[in-house]
Amino acid sequence: MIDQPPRDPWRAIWQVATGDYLIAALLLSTAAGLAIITWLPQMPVANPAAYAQWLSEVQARFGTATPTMQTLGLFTITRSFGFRALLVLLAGCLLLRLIENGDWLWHNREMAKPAGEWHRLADVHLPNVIDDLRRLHYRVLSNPPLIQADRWPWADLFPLLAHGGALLLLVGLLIIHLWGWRVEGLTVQSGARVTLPGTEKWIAVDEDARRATHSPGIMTFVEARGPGVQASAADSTGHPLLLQPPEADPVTQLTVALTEDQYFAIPEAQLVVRLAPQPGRAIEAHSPVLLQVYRSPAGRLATETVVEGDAELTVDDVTLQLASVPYARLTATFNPGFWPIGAGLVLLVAGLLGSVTWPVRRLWLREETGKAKGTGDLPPTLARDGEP
Amino acid sequence: MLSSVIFTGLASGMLLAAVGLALWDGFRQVPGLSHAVRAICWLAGALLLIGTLLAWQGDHSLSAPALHLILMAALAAPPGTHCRRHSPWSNVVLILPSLILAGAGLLWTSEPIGTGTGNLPVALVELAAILCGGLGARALGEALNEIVTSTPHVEWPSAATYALLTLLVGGTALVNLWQRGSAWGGTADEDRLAGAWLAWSAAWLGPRQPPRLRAALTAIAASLLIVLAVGC
Repeated sequence: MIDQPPRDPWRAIWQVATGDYLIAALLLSTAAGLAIITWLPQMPVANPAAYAQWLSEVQARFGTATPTMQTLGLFTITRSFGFRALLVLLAGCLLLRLIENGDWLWHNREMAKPAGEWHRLADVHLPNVIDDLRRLHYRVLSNPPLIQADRWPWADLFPLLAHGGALLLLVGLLIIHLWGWRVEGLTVQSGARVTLPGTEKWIAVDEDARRATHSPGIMTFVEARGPGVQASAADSTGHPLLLQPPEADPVTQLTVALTEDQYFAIPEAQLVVRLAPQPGRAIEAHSPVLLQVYRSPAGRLATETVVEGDAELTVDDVTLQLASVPYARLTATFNPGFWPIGAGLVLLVAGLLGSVTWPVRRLWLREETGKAKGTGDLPPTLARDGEP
Repeated sequence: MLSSVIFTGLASGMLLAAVGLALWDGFRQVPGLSHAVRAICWLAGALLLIGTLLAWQGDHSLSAPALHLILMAALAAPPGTHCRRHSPWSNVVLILPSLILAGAGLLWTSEPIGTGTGNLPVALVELAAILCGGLGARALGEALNEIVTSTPHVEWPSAATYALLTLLVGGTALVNLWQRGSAWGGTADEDRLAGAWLAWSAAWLGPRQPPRLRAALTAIAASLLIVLAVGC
């Protein structure tokens, strides 16, 4: 009776962890999570207005099922424990596979033991086959009577690059999650310098609100641009008049971004001014602005005009001066994981494309009693005979 | 009636006829019929492409998803160069994805048009996503063929789809990272593409044995890619 060697549980765990089934299951689960995100609107954070809009949208769409779906975490997929655990498992799996791929790369330097069933190759002259394989950039190793042809090292290196890149990418995402931040919907007008909330970082934009300058370490992206106005008013003697914006203290010089209709009053002249982007026109930095002046408290329209760029307007004995101060709506990002993510993406893409175009192929050939035989990943021209 | 709808309808009819002829050929082995099926599929692909171009030129009443479906069907319709089909169902299964896509596109044209654009997708990412979807439909046909008939499938559509999808997702992420400082811009299109790419990665990196499991994974990934590309 032959004693079976005891099964090593660690080896079994290693095989499962580095196996193709686990990585496929993890990738499919992550894909399913992302697919759900595209169909179910995800709950916004740190923006009460966006949250209110999202809530009304999901309640209108899903009705009474909304609370149940919310409890199931379907509106917070990427922030859920399950999704994060999935990414952690994926990272662990990638690390183990990276180690295994490195081991393969090292061990495949030398000739391996033939695997699989031997097939007789009809009408084949081995030296010609070896020449053909060399022409196809195969590496040929010989240990008579056995010949091994493979695509080492590149074919073994590409999976290593892909796994390393994916791991680096996940590390970069973890770094962002821990130490990075992002501010969206920041409105900055030209000439102004805005300090980001909770930080000492600042942002300013140029005259056309096209390009942003900022303190080092952050990145900015201009999402949209639009017109803005710096308004001041003076009476007939040149004396500056106070401008009263809604829910703010009166000032002599008022700067407003025309992200929506803007109003201010000139109490001493009993006038109310409305500024709005010209309807029916594409909104750009120096878009025309509709200016309407109403008498207060009658509410009667005193004058209406469209201004473009700097302008001056006189209503009764009040001179209204408007200077164009366009605004930019920006996203500011502090990404300490920039380089790991960038390097990870490059390695991942290069590794995967390399694996697709130059996959691992290993085959063995031998001559036995004048007949050529082969096993492994035989090219189609050799595998045609296929007789064992 | 809209000219693009006429062309799509004609192409759908041709593909349906090709399915019937392929079945007949499979069971009766009529000489030369397989060549006729191939010719019909090529013609159907050309008609679908003409329909798409006509819609682009002036017929703006097609909804964007319908246009995406028709373009994907046009890419999936022309048959490959291999003539190694052993089962009566092989050619039928290979034609099915393009027939379903063209049919769905035709049905979608009768839907009321919303605010979505009916223009041919001109944005590079959108066009590349649809190209991926078309290649994915070919890979779906090959995978279904393997599942149904157990004959090894042709690898190139699957490999080409994965390579293109990898380039697309990787390139978009790198551009986002460079411009915005974040690899994902957070748009629904990017989430869709990333989801499809992950599913395709699962099929590509997943188990090679048994072959039907790999084919099933490819079929799932291809179906997801097509659905997501329609919405892009």
